[in-house]
Amino acid sequence: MRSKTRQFTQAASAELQNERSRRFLSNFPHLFLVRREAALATFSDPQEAQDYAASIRREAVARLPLLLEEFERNASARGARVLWARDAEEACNLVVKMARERGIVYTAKGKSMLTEEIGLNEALEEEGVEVFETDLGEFIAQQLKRPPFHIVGPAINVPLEEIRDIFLAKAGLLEPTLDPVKLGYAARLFLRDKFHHLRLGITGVNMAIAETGGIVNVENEGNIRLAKGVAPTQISLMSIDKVVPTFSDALFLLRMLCRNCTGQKISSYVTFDHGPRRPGDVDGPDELIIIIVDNGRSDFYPDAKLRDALRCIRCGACLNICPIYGKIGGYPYGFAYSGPIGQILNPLLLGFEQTRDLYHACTLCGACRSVCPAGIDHPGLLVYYRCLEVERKNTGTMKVSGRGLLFALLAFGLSKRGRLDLGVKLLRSWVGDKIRDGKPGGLGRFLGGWLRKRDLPPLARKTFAERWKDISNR
Amino acid sequence: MNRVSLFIPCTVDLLLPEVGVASYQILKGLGLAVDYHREQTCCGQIFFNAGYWGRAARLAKHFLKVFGEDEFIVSPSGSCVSMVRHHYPRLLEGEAAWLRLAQEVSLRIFELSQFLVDVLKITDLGASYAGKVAYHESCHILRALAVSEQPKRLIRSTAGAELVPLAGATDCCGFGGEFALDFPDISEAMIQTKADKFIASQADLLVLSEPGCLLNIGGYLKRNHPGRKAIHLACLLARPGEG
Amino acid sequence: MGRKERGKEKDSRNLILNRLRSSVSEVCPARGVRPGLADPPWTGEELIDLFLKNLADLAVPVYRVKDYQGALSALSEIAEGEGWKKIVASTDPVISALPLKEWGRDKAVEVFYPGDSAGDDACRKVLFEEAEAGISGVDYALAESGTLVLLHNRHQPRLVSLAPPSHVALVPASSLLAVYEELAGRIFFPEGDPPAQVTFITGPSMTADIQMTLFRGMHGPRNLIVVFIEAL
Repeated sequence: MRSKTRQFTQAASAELQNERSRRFLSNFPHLFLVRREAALATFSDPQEAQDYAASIRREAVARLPLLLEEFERNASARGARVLWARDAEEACNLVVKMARERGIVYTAKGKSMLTEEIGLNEALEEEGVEVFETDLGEFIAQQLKRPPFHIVGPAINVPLEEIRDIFLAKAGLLEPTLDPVKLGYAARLFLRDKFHHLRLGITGVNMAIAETGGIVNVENEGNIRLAKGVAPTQISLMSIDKVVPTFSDALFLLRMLCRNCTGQKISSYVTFDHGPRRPGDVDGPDELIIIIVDNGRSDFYPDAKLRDALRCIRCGACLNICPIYGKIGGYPYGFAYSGPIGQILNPLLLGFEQTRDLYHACTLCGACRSVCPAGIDHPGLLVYYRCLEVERKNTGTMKVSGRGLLFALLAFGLSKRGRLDLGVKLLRSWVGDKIRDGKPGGLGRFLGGWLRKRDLPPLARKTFAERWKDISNR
Repeated sequence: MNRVSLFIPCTVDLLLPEVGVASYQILKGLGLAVDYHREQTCCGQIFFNAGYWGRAARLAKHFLKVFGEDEFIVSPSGSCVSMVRHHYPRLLEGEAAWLRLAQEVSLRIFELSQFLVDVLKITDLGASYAGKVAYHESCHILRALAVSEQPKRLIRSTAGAELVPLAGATDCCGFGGEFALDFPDISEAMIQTKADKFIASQADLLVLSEPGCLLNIGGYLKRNHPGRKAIHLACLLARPGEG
Repeated sequence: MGRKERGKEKDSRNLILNRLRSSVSEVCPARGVRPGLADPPWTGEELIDLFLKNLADLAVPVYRVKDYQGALSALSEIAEGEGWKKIVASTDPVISALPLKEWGRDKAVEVFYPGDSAGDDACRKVLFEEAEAGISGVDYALAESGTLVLLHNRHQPRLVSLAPPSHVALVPASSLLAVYEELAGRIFFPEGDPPAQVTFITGPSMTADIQMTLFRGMHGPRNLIVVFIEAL
């Protein structure tokens, strides 16, 4: 997928002007959170449950290579073919090649963030393989050529009129309608025909179980089940971080994933695949191919802090609670992953240079961390990215900004009380009374956008330190 | 205990000194001896958050030198307390002696309302305010320090004050230090929502206990809703004339 | 696949694993006790009540019957109500004990077993276009979330419970378990080969992808109906 992370600020401002987006965002994330809380209340101690889920993810990431090998061994023993891909290109090439070898003209896909990340659709289409996204939200986003608005509901914001128009043009909708159910039904009919004659089903993987060699898919629509039930060839792609130690761990995480995601106890369908169909089975794929994709993850794995980014289970709770996502929605993040987890993952996958806005556009409020079932410390990581950025600037591998010089000056001024007092005096003589009305004249240019809609209190006539003598002697 | 050491964050020192004075008056009014170390400057949070960890570590050491001996350190800023409590140990993890000191100090530093309610076990300071009050739950106070009930109890015990519910009280106000300067469009949208909800709450006064939020919310109200005010909890609770 | 590609693939595998291996250092703290759901363990009637309550929350209609005779009556009622002409059925142990063919003749409902004509186009056509319902048994049912568990094999095709617009599941009381973890020893045992696919079904197919409006029957069945058989 081509990234547009550099346009973050621009795209965010556009979304802030979009009345529809604003109205939509003022309702829906909150609704998910309310449902989430109710669903978590089915645990005798919800926090304990969250912590336990986090400990599973922590262990999975800590033991990653061992678990991957165990998974590969067991999956192979069940008859699955396990392949590995270092990067997006290699992963796409593997799929394209297998599609070509099997004479595939079209494929139906289950929703998979990894395939968005590696740009699989584009790679297949380039080779003449038509791709149908079959998750309703992904299907709409694909028709409209839009990035996902939310990692769980990719097109949940799209107005009915737009869906009507695109379905009339491209998805066999016969009569114009604004009824969401009728629109959904039109997509069902259109895609059902694709499923009926499907030769290659492509899915993502929610979890891979090391202990049993199985892969798990979680869904509500049944499109993944169809893709895996009909086609003779099933290709399931997983990033290296999807592996969990045991079947019981997978079941526990399943509870947490669904509760944190949609507020369901469990989604409508969960499937566990162990190899292709057995002799005599009526349906199911003749071959199950699992592609384990690295795509840059092993590059940052050695850093024990960055490694925590691999804990994510893609529930989307951090998006729903993020006050910034709640204002701008998913588009500005410019890549497969949006919201706080996008701010964590996109810089690691795309590099810091082109994602600077993502790891700076955060107030560090910590709401995301407070709901994360994987125990990710998002604000802690973002601040660490900023630290790595500064280190790179110091070693000359990234450009130094004027802000950096300001910080240097500030740090010098704050390093000793005497310097601070001197600084206050200098500032007073420079700014004088200009700051009195809350608009500090020439100082404004150091204050970025602060003053557009806000006042700033004037520099105190007497700082607290200066007042101390009067106060304490009273 | 009879001594506390006052830690006045740089924002309070330079821009909001009345918050420092009020904090002093509250503690003094309770009969405590209040120390103020003239050498203190800044906890280093702005540097830490912006990624300048080296500079932040130097300020951390300065802070530890200044406050290292104190039995109780009290501050009217939750984010600065969280900086000292949670991030100093992280910043200094490679230097054993400093790390040990940071860990000790982390146990002795308290946000003002937490100190009053949890340590001193005081919920009624004899303050009064006639009117409806809403409370904004600042992110660091609520999530990093898990302090939420304490300030509300102090407000409830204020004579004449009625604590009214505030929709989205736990939503971030959009300050975030550098964030507000670098992403003004998003920050303004956030503070606007906060202000709208405060106005919808029908409260006369918005009380909070974080200087950063006060600069943001107070500055926004002053420009856009001059009749509405936000104040620091310390200023609500202090009774001038004491101390 | 040529030798060169095979070699390259092996390279990727080893490269990724070696890179990861060289930096495994973290010592994993022991995990605590797996936290439980509120108020288990459930037993007997309690277990059934919870299962049925969860189904009710999902708006899944339930026919609670004594035995196979009762199950057939329930099927008749459903068939009549829905106006079934043609259905597909699994041949799993629960269903195979049911005289479905005779029942169908009696009710003028054609009963089709996909297992009879493995995988051919005609079979696919029946499943996707003709059958109005799929009837299956279940291997287990899970009270904690109202979930049905199907182990797919030659007697339990994947598409019976998926492709037609309705799915009627016959759930023997004896298949009911309290929580997910109880499945582990039943599906995976040291020497055994687990089925190629295990499916958890909880409610009908649905989506809320368009403006959060709930739509049942997105790709799978619009209706899930449970016939709960007490004496089995």
